[in-house]
Amino acid sequence: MQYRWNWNILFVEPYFGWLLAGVKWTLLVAGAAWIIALAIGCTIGVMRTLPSRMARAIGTAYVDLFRNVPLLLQLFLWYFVLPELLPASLGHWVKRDLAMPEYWFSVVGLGCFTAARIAEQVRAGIESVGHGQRMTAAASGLTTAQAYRYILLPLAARNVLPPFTSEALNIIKNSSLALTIGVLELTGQSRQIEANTFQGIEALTAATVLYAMLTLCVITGMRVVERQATIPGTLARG
Amino acid sequence: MRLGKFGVATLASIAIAAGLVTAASAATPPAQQGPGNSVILKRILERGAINIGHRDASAPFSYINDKQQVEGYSIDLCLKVVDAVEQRLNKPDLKVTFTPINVTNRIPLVANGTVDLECGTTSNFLARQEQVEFSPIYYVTGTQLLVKTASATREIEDLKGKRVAALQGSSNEAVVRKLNDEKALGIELIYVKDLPEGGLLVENDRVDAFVADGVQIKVYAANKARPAGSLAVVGRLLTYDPYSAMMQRGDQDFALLVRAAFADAFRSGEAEKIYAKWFDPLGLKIDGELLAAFRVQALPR
Amino acid sequence: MRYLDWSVISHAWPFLWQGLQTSFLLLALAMAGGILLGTLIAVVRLSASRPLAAVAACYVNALRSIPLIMVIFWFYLLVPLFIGRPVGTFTSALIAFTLFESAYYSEIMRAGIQGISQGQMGAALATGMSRMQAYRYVVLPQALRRMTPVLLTQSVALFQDSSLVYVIGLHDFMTSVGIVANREARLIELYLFAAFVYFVICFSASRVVKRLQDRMTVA
Repeated sequence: MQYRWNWNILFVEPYFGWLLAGVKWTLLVAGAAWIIALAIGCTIGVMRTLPSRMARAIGTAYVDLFRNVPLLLQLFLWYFVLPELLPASLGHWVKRDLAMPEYWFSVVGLGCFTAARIAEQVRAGIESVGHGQRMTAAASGLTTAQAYRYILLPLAARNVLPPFTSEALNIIKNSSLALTIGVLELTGQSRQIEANTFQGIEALTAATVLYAMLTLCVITGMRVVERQATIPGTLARG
Repeated sequence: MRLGKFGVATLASIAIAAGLVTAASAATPPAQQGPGNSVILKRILERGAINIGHRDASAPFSYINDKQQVEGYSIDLCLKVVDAVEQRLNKPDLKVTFTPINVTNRIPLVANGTVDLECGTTSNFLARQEQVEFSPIYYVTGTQLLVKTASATREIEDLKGKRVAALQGSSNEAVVRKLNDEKALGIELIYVKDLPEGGLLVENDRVDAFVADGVQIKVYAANKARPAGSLAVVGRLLTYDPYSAMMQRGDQDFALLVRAAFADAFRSGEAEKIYAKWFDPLGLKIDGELLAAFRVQALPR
Repeated sequence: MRYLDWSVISHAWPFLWQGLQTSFLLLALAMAGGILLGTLIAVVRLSASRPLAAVAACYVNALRSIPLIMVIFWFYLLVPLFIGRPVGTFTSALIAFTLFESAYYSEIMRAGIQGISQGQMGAALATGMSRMQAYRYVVLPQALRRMTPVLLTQSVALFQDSSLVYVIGLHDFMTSVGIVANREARLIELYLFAAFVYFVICFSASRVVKRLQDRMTVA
């Protein structure tokens, strides 16, 4: 093989600093997007199980729209197309005065995309609790709000923990797509190092290892939560 | 700009001398036959095919046309190398396969042997020569600015404190960052991944200029501006970007074959014809600098 | 907003259609391989053998902790170094997808198996079945049935994920769209069109999944 390895490149300035900056931006994009995703996702997910037809329709429309277009395209539409559709003054503000437009567009884009997936998990979690529980709650005189608060949500929460782990990992990994609209997060920085040193494989390895470390932290954390929340009597073993 | 310092006049005089020598050199010596010690040629012989790396949309250098065929100026020059390989291996029916490459994967794909010859818009830098081998230079360009025709911007210094788009990881981006440091321009860089994205940002007033290789934005402004004539390329050349084809490093036999094929094309005037085929329709006549480069590199057999 | 020109799409349609077929082929093969491998891994992960379970867990966690973009890239660039010859773009994308998605499918199957009460397993073992038979005839059919909608939903996501092969230049639908968009400098038209096509395909698929889910639900 005619590739000249040079692992030292990863530990000298400025490249080491670039990698750290990449980790920082990955966490900033993923973290901010996760907050948006949880807020919108849980709301929409619950809405989809409510008795109100209107609430269900809105929830369904949201999920259908955001879950059926690839994230790559969604980011592109947010960044390149949306500002053109806004009223002139707002469009101008977004285009010229908003600081770091690429960061905010990627956070909103990633957040809205992940929200649709979370909404589905929340809905599935609530539905899997079973119609019986819902009936029992109603029969025992609980209002809809009380039934959600005391019966459905606590039970559903356990069901959705494993999928939530996946989504938390997904959002970190999907933040790598923010690169396509110009955010220099971890993947972006590894490419930047490649462009400056032509040691592409080393840079890529470093990024891969850093992603693995970030996500293993999340997996470990979520596994602890999952284990504590297990309902005795099912085949759960962790 | 390095070439500028060197002086076109000097280049031209060398070129004339080179031309004289060319005329003096007689018939080509009997070329070596078979793969010899060349790993790459052995690989090509084994596969029965030479694998050319191409860009998807870098017209007119290397791109896929609407009939889904790979073509362009760089590709035509590389096909001259294919002819030479066919002769050397005595395989007139050698197949040519194409593998798409991009800015991120082009160097690893050449280094790991997937691509035998990369024919795109890659600048020949010394640092890159640590990883790959380069062919002779077949195009010379440098970083310039794409702006709206109505804009008052003429040079990078006019963009103090403004927003400027650049291809991420390009030499164009690097030079803007360097100038930012040296001259405290305070330019805010916006990264894009493809040339037309930069064009779009300029058209939609998202940025004040787009820095890229002069030739590529000239082609874009001439063909893709909407409405026609609304985009212009301005400014001195901020970098020196000589385009070459890439191949795996450490195979002197193959590198020599490639150099010889290019020198033949430069010497015979074939390269100029290929240039005219791709650039004349765009209104880009060959300039003195490139012509001089062709002559200088037209080494005799 | 701007003067949009949609004619570029009809002109480029044969090329785009070819890309779409590549996307479908990749989806079908990766889905079949991924579900098979994923189920196997889920069973191993829940097996009594601790070392085996640990290996399976490592596999799943390792693959789930890196972005798909990286997995695709690795297979394309590094595997040729180990085996000494290039792997085609399609083959390398297919292997990367199958391995990557199997980690996700296995998590779904694991959740499915865990959701089946321990009593069922106990009952199956009590009737004299081996653990293997219990999985094969009692646990897996139920888990698969329960999880079919989730598996299919994951597959819709896989279809969208397949757009990431642009990093290795495989001419799937997304890459083809990108090529035409860049060649014609018609980014907005092409990307809006691509979003529309993905939406129609994925939306119809998710409706089919929902109908299936409703039909499967035991009244």
